[in-house]
Amino acid sequence: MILITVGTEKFPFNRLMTWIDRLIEQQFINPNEEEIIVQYGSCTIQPQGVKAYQVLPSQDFQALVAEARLIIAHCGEGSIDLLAKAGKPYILVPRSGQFGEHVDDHQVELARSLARQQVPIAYTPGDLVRFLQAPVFVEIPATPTQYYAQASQLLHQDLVTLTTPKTRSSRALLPGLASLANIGNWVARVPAVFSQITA
Amino acid sequence: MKVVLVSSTGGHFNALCQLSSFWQRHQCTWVTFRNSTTEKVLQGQPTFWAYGPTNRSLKNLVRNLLLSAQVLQQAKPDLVLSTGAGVAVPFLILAKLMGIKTAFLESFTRVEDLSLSARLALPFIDKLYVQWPQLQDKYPQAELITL
Repeated sequence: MILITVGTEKFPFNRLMTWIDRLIEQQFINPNEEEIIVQYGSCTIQPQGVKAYQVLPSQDFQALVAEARLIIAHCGEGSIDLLAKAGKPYILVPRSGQFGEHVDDHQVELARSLARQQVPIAYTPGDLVRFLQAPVFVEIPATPTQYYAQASQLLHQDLVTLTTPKTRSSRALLPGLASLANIGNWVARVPAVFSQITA
Repeated sequence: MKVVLVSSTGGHFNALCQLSSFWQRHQCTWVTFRNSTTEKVLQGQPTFWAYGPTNRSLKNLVRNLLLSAQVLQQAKPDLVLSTGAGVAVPFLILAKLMGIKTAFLESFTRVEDLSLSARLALPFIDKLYVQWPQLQDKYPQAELITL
């Protein structure tokens, strides 16, 4: 069974759906011979002949992950964690900001960084075909789970020492003034940020 | 210590949950969007439901700013902690202005630049954590989490 997932992102990832559909059409994968399950999230189209679910309850989804021989996923945090733990062949496909698949191109940047570490990344349907013919599991060097575990410890060290309870009035005055000084920098940056938003 | 935890849903919320070994030692108030996952996970926790979607929605920004005033007033936290995205911006700014400590954990998936939310709130963030060295090169004030 092949499992395809695009996460919970509110932007559709129709490009991947179209690629999968094309692979089925060209018989690189065949839903009549092998089950193909798609969790399509906010996509507005689904590949032909697959079993499609919008979003599965976590438990059901985990069961499918355990059963799959190959997982195709977007480059989201949850998916990367899942694949690192599942220990089975996978292919990652980055969402692109250019095509309205995410807020910006950060998934493409992440994909490039992971690709340098030999992680199977598909930028084109051709890449998908290549990895489908020789599926691999590549250990992901650092996982979100490790990052958050480490962050929890750091937060504890940094902030418990930082936030010593004081009276509200004395506490608010100085940092508040510091922030006011910062507003200048911030206002200066608004045009640049605004042009990014409206770009 | 009193902590306000704020994030949007999906990966950002999941990230916040994964910081439990930090926040479970403190008194927490949650701010996120309402969906089946967050409702289930936060059952019985003090929670405020924020207004989404936040990107390019001035109306929801104003609503969330008003909500942040209400939450910070009521919860009186020592710290506001967020993993993103847009919903965090008004909370971080207002918290800093009120003299409350602020912390932002950038997503694992951000390699070459901070998210827009982090860039917007940057002057109001006391502690910024990142995962990729490239990011720390660009923003020296960030703390790099080495794995």
